[in-house]
Amino acid sequence: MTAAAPPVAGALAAVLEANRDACNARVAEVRHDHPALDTDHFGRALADLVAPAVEAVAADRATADAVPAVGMALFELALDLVAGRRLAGPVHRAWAALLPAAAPALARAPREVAGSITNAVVTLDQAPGARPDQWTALVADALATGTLTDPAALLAAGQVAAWRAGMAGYRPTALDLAAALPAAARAVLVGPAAGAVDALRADPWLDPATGGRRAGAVRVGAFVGLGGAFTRPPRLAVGGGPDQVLATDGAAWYLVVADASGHAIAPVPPPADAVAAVAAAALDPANPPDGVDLPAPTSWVRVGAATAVTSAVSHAVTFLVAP
Amino acid sequence: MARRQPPTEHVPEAPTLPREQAAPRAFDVADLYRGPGATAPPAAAAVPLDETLRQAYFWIVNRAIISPHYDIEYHDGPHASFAFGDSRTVVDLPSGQSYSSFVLLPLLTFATRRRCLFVGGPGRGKTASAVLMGVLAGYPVREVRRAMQHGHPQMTVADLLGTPLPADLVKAESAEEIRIAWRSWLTMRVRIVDEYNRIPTRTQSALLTVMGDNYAELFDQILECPEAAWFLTANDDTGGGTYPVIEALRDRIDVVVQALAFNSRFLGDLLDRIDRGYRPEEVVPAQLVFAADELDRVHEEVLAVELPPAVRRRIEFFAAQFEVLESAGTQLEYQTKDTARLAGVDLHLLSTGESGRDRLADLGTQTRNGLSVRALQTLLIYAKALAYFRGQPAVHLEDLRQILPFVLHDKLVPDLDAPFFEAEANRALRTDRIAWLRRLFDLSCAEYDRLDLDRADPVADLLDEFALGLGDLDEAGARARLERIERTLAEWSAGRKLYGTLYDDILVLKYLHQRYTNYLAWLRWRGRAR
Repeated sequence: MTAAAPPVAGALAAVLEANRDACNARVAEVRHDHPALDTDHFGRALADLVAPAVEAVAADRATADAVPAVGMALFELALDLVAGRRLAGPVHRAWAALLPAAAPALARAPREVAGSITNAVVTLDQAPGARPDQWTALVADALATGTLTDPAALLAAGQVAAWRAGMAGYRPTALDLAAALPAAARAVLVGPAAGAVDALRADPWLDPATGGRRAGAVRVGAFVGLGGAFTRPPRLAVGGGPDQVLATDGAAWYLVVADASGHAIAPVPPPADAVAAVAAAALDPANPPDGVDLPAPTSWVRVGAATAVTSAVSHAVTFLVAP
Repeated sequence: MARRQPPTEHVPEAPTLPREQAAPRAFDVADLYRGPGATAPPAAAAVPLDETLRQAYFWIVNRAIISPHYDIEYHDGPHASFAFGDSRTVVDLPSGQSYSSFVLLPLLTFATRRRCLFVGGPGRGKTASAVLMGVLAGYPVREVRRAMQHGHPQMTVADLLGTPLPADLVKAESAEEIRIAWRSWLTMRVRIVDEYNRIPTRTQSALLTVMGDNYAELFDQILECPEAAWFLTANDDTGGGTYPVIEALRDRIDVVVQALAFNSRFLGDLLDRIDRGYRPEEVVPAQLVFAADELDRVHEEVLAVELPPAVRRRIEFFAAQFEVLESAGTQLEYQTKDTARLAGVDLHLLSTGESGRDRLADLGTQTRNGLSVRALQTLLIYAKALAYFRGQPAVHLEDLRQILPFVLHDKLVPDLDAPFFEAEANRALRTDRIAWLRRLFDLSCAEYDRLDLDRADPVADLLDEFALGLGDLDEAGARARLERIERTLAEWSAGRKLYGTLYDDILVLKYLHQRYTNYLAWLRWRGRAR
């Protein structure tokens, strides 16, 4: 049995009181669509997550006028998320850690800021290898600098943090966005060095957290039956683009990307001359390139400082990163 | 007008008519912020107006009106059917997106700014549906309710239109000097008249002027009213109100929608609404509200929907069936049911003398009248509106088939004594007018197909030829065409019975013959003048 929701007090209570009929009607409407709506859970979400955020907005004279808009936007969003059983786990932790800290941005665009934070955590939670709690911690640290009062800046910082938290495919755009961030927030997300962004652009395997290169083998992808993308051991092909490789398992084509923050795989259309592209990346098992010591290697592509290799006995693409 | 912002809103982001889209980029950082959380005020999203209209439909069906009836059926491939009861009533499970007429027809009326009559017993949601349409037009619920005209036996023209200012009545030396305090509902874009069949006849005439001509008149003062969608309700469609509805007013109504019976399985939903004080009209999402300019655009976009010639021919063929009454006159042009009606003679009295035609096969025997130009115009507009609602650039035959019964519900009056209704299988069609009209159209289409008119239609060929113009036609060419017309008429006169479609075709050929005859006379005159 779930615990009863604690009463809501303070600024949020005043907002709910002023909009009582509309709020009740909205709850009734959502309950109509979701008969199993857990109203106790919703009540706790209001008390534990929404009320502190609204209180933070109310505490600052510069943002106090936005209390009704913030209160209603968060009420709506929380209701929808509770109805969809999504206000839990990493999303719950992100709301608790970020919404009060993001009060200035929240006051200016409550729906956009709260909705984007929610969606970012859900996206990270669903991406293989991504780390939503690391994203929340990075954004919280960036917010603590006090420089992310503008919603656009906060969302840009969130995109940079998403790359750091494992969304390797975002790297080029994230680094462009990082260059335009306020200096203090940028220092939190990509490091305090003056040329940090340029250095990261130049070397995908440079780890922003340590400032050093992450060397060794990184395995990307798995058998489809184990939650991966490949139905058969993949083969590489040339033509993937900078820092990316093309791979195919014979049934579909994928873009595979990896760097010091993480890795990602996305389906793509086959290249114009697929046979030639695969042939160009083929590898002679009897005479593998230097440093390639995988059993039964089948194909390879050099990607910057790394070598991507596939094996006939593995459903992964392995990136061999030199020290 | 700015979009109204109700306190709460939610419209699913899923497209109402899913279609294939281009492949997304492999890695797009913008994807990070896409997900279950709404990130922008709904009004900010640029949604095509037809999609908004569909969203409004689904919002009303799913959240506002407890309506499990899907009586406008579309099939997309094979579908399952089952038969029930002694009458073996067939229930089809539609394999395509199908609709509830009680919600769809008012929405199409809203989009096309026409006039919709809700009929059905009291307490079936007729007024609630009309109020929702007012809210969709951007008016607060309270304003919509206050502006609603409630028909009653003592309703005066002043109640309906407004009152002269008392001071002006005393001081004015001419009628022009009397200012009128017009009723506010006259300038709204959604006008609701509840129980219109309880309005006294004289007041109905004033209503007719506003409804038909979009202006109100009192004491020589004129108020021009904007284009509006009209929603009228009546507990009894057959004129069983306090006052009989004047025919002209009835004729101005474009579609008739029946509020179907409440399904007892949904009593739980009803109870839930009572318990929670849920009033759908108070929580209409802002993104479903149409501003005035958007309504204008919807209307323009509806009119831009194409009506292909092949579909138009089906309407022409159908419409041609009903007007002819051979025994009503001696000259072809006057051999119509309207001639008999104007003379006050009973149709049956005249038709008993008719012979030769198959009274079961002749669709014209099933009706007491023909179709007016206004009815055909309405049919064309609603067919376009339905195609627009379904996201199609052109009207399909099925759109026409589905919408036709609702448009002609009050326009085509059945002759319940016709042999067609005597058949055991057709008896229920005496009361089920929607099914009867759909059957009528199906029979017409079957006959059209039997005659193979899509491929062999001599009249259409002659009309197409004429439409090309007479500029390059010489005397020999004109004579050849006249001869073709006369030959066609001679063939027809030899054996064919005078069915409605033949009647229209004969008149068309007579028209063409006259145009070519006049042209020939002009050619001769020109030759002499030179």
